[in-house]
Amino acid sequence: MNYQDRSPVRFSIAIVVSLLFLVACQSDPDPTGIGLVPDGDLINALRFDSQRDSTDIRDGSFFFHNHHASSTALAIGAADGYASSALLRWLYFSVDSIQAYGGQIVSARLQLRSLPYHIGDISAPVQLDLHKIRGFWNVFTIAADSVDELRSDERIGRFDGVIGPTDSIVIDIDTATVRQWMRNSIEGQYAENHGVMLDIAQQGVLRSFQSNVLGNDSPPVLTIIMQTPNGLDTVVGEGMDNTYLIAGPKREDEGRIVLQGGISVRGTLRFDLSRIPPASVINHATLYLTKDPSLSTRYFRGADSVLVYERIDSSTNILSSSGIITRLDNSMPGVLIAEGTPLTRAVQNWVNGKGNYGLVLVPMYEVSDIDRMALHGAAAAADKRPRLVVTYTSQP
Amino acid sequence: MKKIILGFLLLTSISAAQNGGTIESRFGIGELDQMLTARQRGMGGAATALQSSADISAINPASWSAIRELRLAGGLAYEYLSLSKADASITSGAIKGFSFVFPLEESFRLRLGSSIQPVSRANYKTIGYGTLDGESYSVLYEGSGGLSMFRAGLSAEPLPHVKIGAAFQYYFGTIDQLTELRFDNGTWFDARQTRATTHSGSGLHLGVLYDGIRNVHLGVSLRPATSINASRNLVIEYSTADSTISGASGTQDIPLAFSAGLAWQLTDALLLAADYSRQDWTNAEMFEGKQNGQGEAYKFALGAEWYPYKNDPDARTLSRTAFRLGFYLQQPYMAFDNENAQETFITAGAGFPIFGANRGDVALEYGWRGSDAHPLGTQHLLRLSLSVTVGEPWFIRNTD
Repeated sequence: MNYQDRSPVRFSIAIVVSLLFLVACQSDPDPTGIGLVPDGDLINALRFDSQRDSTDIRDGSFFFHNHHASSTALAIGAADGYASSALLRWLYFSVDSIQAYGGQIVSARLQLRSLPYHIGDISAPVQLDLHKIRGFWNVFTIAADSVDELRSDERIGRFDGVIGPTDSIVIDIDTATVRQWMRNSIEGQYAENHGVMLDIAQQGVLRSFQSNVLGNDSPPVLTIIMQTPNGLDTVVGEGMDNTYLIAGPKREDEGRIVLQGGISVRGTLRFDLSRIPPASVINHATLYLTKDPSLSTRYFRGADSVLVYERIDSSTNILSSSGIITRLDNSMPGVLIAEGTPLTRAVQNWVNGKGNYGLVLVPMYEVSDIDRMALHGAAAAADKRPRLVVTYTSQP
Repeated sequence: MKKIILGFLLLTSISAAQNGGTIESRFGIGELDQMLTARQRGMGGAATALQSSADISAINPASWSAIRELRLAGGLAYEYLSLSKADASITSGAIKGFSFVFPLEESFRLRLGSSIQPVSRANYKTIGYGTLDGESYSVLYEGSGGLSMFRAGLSAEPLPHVKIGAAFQYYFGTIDQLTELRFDNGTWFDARQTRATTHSGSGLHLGVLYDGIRNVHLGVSLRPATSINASRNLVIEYSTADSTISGASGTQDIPLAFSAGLAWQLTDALLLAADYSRQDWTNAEMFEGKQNGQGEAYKFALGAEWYPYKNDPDARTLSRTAFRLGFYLQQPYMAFDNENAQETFITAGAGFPIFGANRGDVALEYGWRGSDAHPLGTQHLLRLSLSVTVGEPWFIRNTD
């Protein structure tokens, strides 16, 4: 191929390269000519407001079977309709067979640290009893109503006195029982170590103690002093499980959604979104909940927030994997505000016809804090009932 | 090497249907391409009766019989459009297709022609603004894509001075229309939906040329009405990470296009040409419905080509260099509120030899359209076009 033959080829390539360069030049969008967009192609942001649109709202509440394995507090006592017992057990003891079968136990003591959270008068002396537990229990599956079934009549320890808000108390435990736990440990019969149940005999007071979750600086400790030929030896109970079992009535107050921690009463809320055209794109959603302080309590932390989840099943109360923690706004005292991607997605699912099972309202610190959060419900005055504001984009 | 270049040009011709335009190209199948070479553009687009041994016309397939050797041609254009409102301007570049003509037989001047070229383009990016209870947002309307065409046909001279041509045309291409609503706060979910309309279908292109009158050529070109398939998908994106897709199928009418032209070789060095073309989109249906904003398109064009040094023995290159002038007045098929949106253009150009029988052509067009009353205001358009044709005597066997 001579030079003359190649030149057109080169020229063609130059054309293409030049074109690609020119095509790369793009202009920023400009509003000029926006009036020419066909009416049928125009889209706009629109707003749905359950309060303004007098939307049908349904609310309710239900018991949720919860476990308190991750609770920061162990609740013990009976007050304000609640009755709670704590369960503790130790599966392992680092002892040898001589200690387990023949060593003298000088003392076996349970140390607990109280928390300031309580219901009732805590200045009065309290009688804290330790009872043996009859059978095996699982911290994740134990039922709240199994207290009587598990509690034996055999008391193996008692504390009698005044407990301050953050006091450490020591309770002697029957050494024969502790020895049996040690033997079970040596023999590999860990499941036979059922532990102890803690109750407060008096009515009208409910106390809380630190549990063994990470972060608590003084979890329950079982310390055993043993006499050995070489002197005294200290053994500590290991492999500890603890929880508390609480029972109490679900509050039913007219026009209110009452969320209850401890016994895990959750709320439900459902808005009729039929006014939003199907297949609209949900840009944002905000939920406003108005608190009723007169029916709410602050026995524990008294958190001014709830968790909001999408309910994805009507019968089993399955929740979406992510929820929203409500916030407060100074401009709206007493109003809890939930907004964010999980709520936006929930509304989108409902608009897309995936089943509007509503929202579930979960008390903050539900497993540890025995508090009530009362919210104005669907039957409340219009300016106090739950309000959902949805910003959406229409379809062309 | 030639095959590689051919493939590359084919691909870029398809992608080139995606460039430059205004919001007007949201209507119908977008802004129609005139399918003119740079030579024809320099002459104002008065191309129906033009014949050339080098220039491959997409306007009249009958003219292919004037080509004596294998010819390949390609072109590109660069546009600058200024809008009087908002001082906005749009620039764009595009390949204007690739074509070739292959001589099959000489007694009837039978020629095989083929091309791939843009038919229409939709490319716009327009933004609107709104507020909802204090929250500001913008809505972007963006379009891209267009229709392209593959054409293959034959031309012949069955009778003295009468050339005829016919080509099969296959239309294809997708027009994407994006709409996006975005809030200024940056945290709310954007509403984004894309509508893609894919077209496919065929049509015919017929042409006749008559040069039996002394120094006068007459040409007629006809593209019968056709209806091509169109399928549309709408994809709506949601925060739930899924999307809704709804589809529809229908047809897109492409109405009859007619053009007639006259070319007069006034002197050995001066050629004059005139053209009239028309295509009525008023009743063209899209998905079984007429679309607003479509009307009757027409064009009236005049042009001249002059070889000032044609007979000058001392001007080797200049003797084969042509200078061109032209003018055209046209009404695009998009008409809003029955408003007259006539375009007026004046054109100029030149054609020059490159090597041997290869030629290059450039054209510059300046035009204006609209008025201050038009939503886009008065528009001024400057278009630079370039075409190259390459001749290859492949069909001639060496006897050495």
